[in-house]
Amino acid sequence: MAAKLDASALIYLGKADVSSQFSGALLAVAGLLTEPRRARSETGPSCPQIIEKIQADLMALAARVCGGLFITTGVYNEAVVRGRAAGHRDAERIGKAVEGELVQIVPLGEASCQYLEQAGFPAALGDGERETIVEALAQNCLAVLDDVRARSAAVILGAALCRTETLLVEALVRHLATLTEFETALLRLAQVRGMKPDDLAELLRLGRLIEETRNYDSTDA
Amino acid sequence: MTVQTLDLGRLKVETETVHTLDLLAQWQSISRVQVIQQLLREGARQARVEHTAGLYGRGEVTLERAAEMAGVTIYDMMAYVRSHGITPPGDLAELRADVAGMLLRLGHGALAEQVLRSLSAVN
Repeated sequence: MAAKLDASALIYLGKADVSSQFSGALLAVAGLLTEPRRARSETGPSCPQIIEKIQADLMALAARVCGGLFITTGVYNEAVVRGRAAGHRDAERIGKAVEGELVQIVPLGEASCQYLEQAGFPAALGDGERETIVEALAQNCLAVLDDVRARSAAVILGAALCRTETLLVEALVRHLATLTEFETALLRLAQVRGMKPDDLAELLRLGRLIEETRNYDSTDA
Repeated sequence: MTVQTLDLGRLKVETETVHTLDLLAQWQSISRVQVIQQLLREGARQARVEHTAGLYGRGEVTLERAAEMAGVTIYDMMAYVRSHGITPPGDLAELRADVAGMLLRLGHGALAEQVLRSLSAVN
């Protein structure tokens, strides 16, 4: 079993955001109404998510929102070791973020390795995603997963998860970013990912909605 | 790299293709066999990437899995899907539900409700 993450860094985040991969409003609402289950800390991005964060310069912001970013050895090997060997500049940047302790590597413990074998993950998932889900469960932290297949598996196994965009919105809600910073970061992410215009428009709309409500609340008070 | 002999029997190829192979061999100062080997290697790799990127685009595998199946790095696969405009299926309802979940967790119930209300209005 891997050593637990520093307990002093644990933050209670209340209700689990177990949104359903099946996307129906009813299922989603049912997920949202799930009782608070546990304390959670930090996040574990899987491979594409950590690369997108470095490409869009979002690593520092994501670390501020989450209190810490952790990746598994498998994600490190793919994103940094293989990436460096193939000469990818972003692999170098992630490597530097690890060396600067902005991102920490969590090796899978014995129990996690066993669970990895027994969990019966669908073949549609990559090794890094499987490791991220298993470790998020073991360490009681959020798994950052943007891919619908990986999110499905995480929900089924009971792992708490979020997506990169949600972390950005959370930064806005928690006053860790201004609306302009939020929109700039979102546009960078959209560019890096090739985000669908509808998704981008919706996130920009939600950002404005949150900002307006916040301004209204503060005027009201 | 290990190699093995591929027995293709009496493989029929269009005359124009043979002409192209010879041209390529001439331009690159290599043999026709070497041209065929090179094209096979590159074509097979490309076909593998195209196929798995298609699986990703249809939501059948994740991006990471697609890269593993294609035998390329995740960076190569990300670059490929981006340059070809391949995005996986997904919908706005899940995105909104995710944001609403985060808002609930942070104690912004009214705002979460507003986000979800915009969801049911669209549906």
